[in-house]
Amino acid sequence: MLEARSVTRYYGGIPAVLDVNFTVKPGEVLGYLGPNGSGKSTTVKMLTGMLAPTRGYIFFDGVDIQENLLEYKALVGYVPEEAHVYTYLSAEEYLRLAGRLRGLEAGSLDRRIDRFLTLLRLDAERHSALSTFSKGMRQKVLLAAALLHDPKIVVLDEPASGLDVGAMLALRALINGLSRGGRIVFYSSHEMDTVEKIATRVIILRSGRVVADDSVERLRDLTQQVSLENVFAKLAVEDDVDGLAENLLDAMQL
Amino acid sequence: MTRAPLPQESSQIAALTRSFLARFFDNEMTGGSSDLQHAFFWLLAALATPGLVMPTVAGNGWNIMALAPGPEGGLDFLRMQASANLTFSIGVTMVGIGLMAAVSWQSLLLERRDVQVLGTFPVRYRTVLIAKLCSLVLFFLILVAATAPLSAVCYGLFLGTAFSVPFGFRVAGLHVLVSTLAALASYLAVIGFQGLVLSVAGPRLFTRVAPLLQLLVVAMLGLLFLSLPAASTATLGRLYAIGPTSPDWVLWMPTTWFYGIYAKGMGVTLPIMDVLIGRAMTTTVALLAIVLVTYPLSYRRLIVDALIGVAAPARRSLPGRGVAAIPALLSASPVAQATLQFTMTTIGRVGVHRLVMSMAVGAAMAIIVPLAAANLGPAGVSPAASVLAIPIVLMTAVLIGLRITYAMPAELGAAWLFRAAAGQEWAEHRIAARRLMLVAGVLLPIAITVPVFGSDWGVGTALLHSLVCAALGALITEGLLIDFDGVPCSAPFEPGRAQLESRWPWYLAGMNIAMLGIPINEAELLITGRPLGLLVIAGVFAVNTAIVRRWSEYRRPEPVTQESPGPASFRVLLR
Repeated sequence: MLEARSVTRYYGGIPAVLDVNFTVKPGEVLGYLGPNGSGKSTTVKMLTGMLAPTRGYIFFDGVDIQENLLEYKALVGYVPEEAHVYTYLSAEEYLRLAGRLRGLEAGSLDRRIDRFLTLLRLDAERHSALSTFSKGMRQKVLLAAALLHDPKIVVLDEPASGLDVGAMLALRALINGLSRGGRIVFYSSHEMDTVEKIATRVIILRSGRVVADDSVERLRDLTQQVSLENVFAKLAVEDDVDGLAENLLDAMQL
Repeated sequence: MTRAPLPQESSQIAALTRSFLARFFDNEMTGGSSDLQHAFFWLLAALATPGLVMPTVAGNGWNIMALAPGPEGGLDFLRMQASANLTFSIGVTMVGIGLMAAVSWQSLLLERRDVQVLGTFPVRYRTVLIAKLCSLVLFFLILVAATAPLSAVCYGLFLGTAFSVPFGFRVAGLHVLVSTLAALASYLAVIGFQGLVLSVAGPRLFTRVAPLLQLLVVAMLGLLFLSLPAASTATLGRLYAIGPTSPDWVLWMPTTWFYGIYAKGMGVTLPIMDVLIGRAMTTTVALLAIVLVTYPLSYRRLIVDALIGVAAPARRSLPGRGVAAIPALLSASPVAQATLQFTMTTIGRVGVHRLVMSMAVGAAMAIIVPLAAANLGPAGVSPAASVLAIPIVLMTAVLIGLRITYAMPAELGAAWLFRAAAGQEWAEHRIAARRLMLVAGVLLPIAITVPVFGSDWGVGTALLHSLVCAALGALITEGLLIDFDGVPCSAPFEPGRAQLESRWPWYLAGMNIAMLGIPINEAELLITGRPLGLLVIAGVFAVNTAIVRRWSEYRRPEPVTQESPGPASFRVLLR
């Protein structure tokens, strides 16, 4: 079980995340929503062990992850929001690097790389440098790198970015499969539609604070909205979107 | 916590070292273009050439010298006489390895991307550091392997023929040792310099001052290279009292320090050699210590910056505002303004473009500094040719640098923006490219130097020389823009278009005339009291500029047609 307890993170005195609490059990998919700058990426950095909380704790199976960070990181698979990769490596080389860093044995790693690249339809491009890949193709490589070592916790930060509809649908099915397999899935995204369909629970963040934490159905009922998008708009969007659109249209005429 | 099997650190180091090593051969400088990668390998191969040519050329003379009787012959005399050649060879190795390090600038240190990519893997920071240091060592060994062994065989062969076979083997071994140590010092100096500045200034400031640092490195290497003939001869004079010069400064040249190891190994017993060896070893160890201390510190700063650094919203500085106003000052056409804005920001911000410009200015500074130093003191009646050459050298270097950067793409994938917006604006792009070259490459060097000429030799001389420089600069600009088509920095790199293989004698002759012939003639005209002759020179250049310009426009290359001009919606918006 993954548990965030009063997790707070300051950047130079400015709070990015404040007193965030949640628990994700094996088999659950936690949808983590929030507008830009609400603290989603900071939470992800802390969950992946890249950043320590200023205050509070993150526990996995009852143990503070900071106590043995390397062991914890070995259990996590992570797809970052931005496709940070070594673009001079080929897809196969990148996956091999990721697998070796995870300590996978050579034979098993070869088989997994072959299978992942074939299934993700990247086989023909396996020797091409990642610099030549489209955003969607890089995203697939990152997804493969995150799953290569059969992680117990899967942290996905906008994983659907750049994927086509077919790949998107496959991703949803994959997340359901990961959840059925007893893995913990943390899904941070702007995409309400996907979150609505796959998340067993949703957390909505605003200005670093949790403003909603419940199942999609309960949130819809509580806020009397028909969709998660409307719930999100009601709880987290501060701007007058119609007014903004009007102003943008006006600006075109300046 | 459910225990996971932790990967072995040694296998992680091996995997990361391989990945980091690959970056040296496919970095920002060489990435995305097989031509640039080939150029990188050619450069690597070129490093080996001097080590083969120099002993081969000198070999026959060494044999004759070894057999010659009298004080200027015999083995002991040859042992001393070879010092000039060996010192020069050490210097070439140091400059070559330093240049390779400068070209690999982006790959020498760890970067933000390493923190971002590797941060989530179960890898210790220590592991990343060790792997990076291993990749640095491997890259260095590749560089040394490409240069030292062949050269060592040649020196061993030719000196061995003159002396004896065992002596030849000893020379070969010494050559590998000394070349490796000298190259290591040069390599460590570049890495240590980077690491020191990054540790002290932090990643953001480091990125901003990187062009200046690159300029300094190239200028220092250029100075070292240009001083090699004098330093090599002076080594002979200072250490063995052979030849006309014996200045003490040569004892402070790194090339002389490393020669000390060579000399000692070859059996020279002068006490000064121990001093030189001491300096060589102290410097190398000190540089190694700087690298070992600053490397972890700089990585730590990178980690902090990448993970918790909050980028303050960028504000436009006063110089930034001035630069932003330049496009509007140089052209009234929106298309030309856009081209100018894009070109200027690309050259100012993209690493590889900044490196090229830094190398160009650094190379110019390496020539200018000794020229200026030689002319310090009271000004003569009229400026010497070497002084008149200063703005021309700077101008030529900046213009060539700019033209090379025009040919190098930045974010090639984003160039659809120009294709989507492009109509028949070939002339507009060309005007923008020309004006930027004239302002940055011609007017700026003149503006920097004209006050010096004015104060030392009068306003008339300063204006006349400026006129010659401006006309020459315009001619060089037009010459460099022949076959130029499209928006600068937005097309695939095609070094073949410069036709270096067939045209190099013309380029060399042109540079020779511009940087030597013109100043010599100007100086002659000024000292013989015919200053108006400079007007004639300027007039000749102006006429030629007009001819080249017309010819260049006449033979305008066919515009490149693009299959995919980008999303239709953007095309509509941009129109």
